Amino acid sequence: MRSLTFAIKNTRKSLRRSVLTASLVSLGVACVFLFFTYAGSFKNQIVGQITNSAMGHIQIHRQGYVESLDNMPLDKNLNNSESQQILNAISLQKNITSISKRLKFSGLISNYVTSTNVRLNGVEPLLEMQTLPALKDRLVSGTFELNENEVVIPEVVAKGMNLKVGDSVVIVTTNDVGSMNAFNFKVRGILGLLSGPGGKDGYVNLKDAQKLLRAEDGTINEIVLRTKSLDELKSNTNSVIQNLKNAGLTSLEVHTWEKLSPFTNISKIIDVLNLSVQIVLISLVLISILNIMIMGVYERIVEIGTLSAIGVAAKYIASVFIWEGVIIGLSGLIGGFIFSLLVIKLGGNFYISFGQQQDILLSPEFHLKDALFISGLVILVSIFAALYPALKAARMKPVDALRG
Amino acid sequence: MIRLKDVSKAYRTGELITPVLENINLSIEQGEFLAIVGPSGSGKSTLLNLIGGLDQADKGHLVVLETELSKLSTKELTIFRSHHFGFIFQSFNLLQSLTVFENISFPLTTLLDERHTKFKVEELLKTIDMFDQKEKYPDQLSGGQKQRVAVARALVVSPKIVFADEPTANLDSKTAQKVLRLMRDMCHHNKTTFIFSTHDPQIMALADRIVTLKDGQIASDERKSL
Repeated sequence: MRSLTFAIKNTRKSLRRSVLTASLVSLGVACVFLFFTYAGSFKNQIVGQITNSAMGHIQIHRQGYVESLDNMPLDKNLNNSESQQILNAISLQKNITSISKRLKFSGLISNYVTSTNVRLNGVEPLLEMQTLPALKDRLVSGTFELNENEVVIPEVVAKGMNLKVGDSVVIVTTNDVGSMNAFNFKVRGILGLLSGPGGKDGYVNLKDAQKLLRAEDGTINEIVLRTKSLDELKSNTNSVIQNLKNAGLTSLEVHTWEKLSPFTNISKIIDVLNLSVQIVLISLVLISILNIMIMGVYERIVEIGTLSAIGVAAKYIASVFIWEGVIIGLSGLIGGFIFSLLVIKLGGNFYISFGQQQDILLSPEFHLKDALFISGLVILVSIFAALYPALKAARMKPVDALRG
Repeated sequence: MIRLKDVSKAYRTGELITPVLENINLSIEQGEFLAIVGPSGSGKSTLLNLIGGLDQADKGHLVVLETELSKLSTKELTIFRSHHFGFIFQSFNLLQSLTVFENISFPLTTLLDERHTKFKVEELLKTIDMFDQKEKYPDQLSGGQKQRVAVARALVVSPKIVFADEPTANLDSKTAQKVLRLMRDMCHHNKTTFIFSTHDPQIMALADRIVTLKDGQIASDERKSL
């Protein structure tokens, strides 16, 4: 009889105990799997929103711009020639799917009665929408098709100043040499809030921004890149850095969204939590299987002695116990997956609030990679947990074991 | 077939040494139906364990089937037992998760293919009159049935020697008689050597040789004339 068949029969013989242990493993697997899927969904949602509707994947600035970003510095702008050199240097990079140029500045917005501070991005609307494909989804009203003298304002400003699409406003700003300028704008759209940098910014046409700041044509201070895949962010960023270096553009800084967004820290916390629940799973599987297998060894001590006496090899005895551990682990794994899939199917999607953002959709998905990882982990830990009892059983002297 | 020369065995508990067998000299020939008797603590089971390769002597020479058992490694000893020995225990020691058929066929796992195993086990099942019970589990059997299964399991590998430690202790006298007759027939039919450790007068009555132990030494060695 193969050791696996014998192990299956032994597991079936103590069915109630095996099922209880497997249930514990199932619980652990379900907790980890559901945490993976929901936390993953949350992370993907937030990362998606940040990269698809505010920050893009990679940003290029003049050196020192990011460290003084809160002041929206205008002395670190890139002139037309510099921005063209940058675009030429990265234009052949196939993993970049779109590029948007921005001129960021802060100013004062007034509805002729009250005024407030506002951070604005001068952009070419079509390029911005290509680079941030979910930007238009943030629109609470109006559109993002900005003509000259039109502005898309953040929702917080619209609410505070009681502004709606079609209203007139004045935007006042000061340029890098202290010269003040102001234009009339019509509100074209109102953007919903987003956590993180750029989440409360407004938008004007790039030409208007340049006129307001009395900057020459082509002046910008930020280049935003969208790449083919976030999974290759690091290598794509390295390629950008290398291409800029090759073009002799050394006074620039290149940052990924991760370096610029505080959500990266939350993302790291999620990763740490993922690790923690994995440790809980490992402990749960290890302790429950180790416990049942050690109990099994002591309860079946005479059986082990009998097997040994009738000439069953120690290797066979050890393999029976290891198989029993794996069978319980596997049963728990399957039970855990079935339970998780049922929860996903029945509980499904739900909405949560995060910071100022409402209704973030958590939509868990079955990821084969996660399933394989959890399966591998459970099987490995099951083998490891069964190893000590298995070796203990295999090393027993038949005469001692037969005494019980 | 079996030669013991000056075999001694003592058990140690901390610093306390308890001699169990002292200078045992014994020869056993093929086909003997031998009973080792004596009061509790006289060393019957220990002697059986030593000859059966389940335990090791402290002193002396123990040669079984022309093999000095002390010279075999644990692995070699396990293989040796699986090929040449059968064991019958007082509490039957059947594997609870296996059926009657599987219990009997278990020792053949690595020795025979499935077809030959089936043939051999079914023959034995008929011999012990348990063919109809072959799919039952041990907890569905009576004590006598369990011991018949244990006898079949011990005989399935066609061993040269069968060791039986108090095989009738948990059986009523009628059932014990049946089981003993079965073993006696096997002994005569296959020339298998049976060595019992026992207090049972029924075994003593059937045995053709009785070795009596007292205080770890052979007090008497009687052969019955056939």
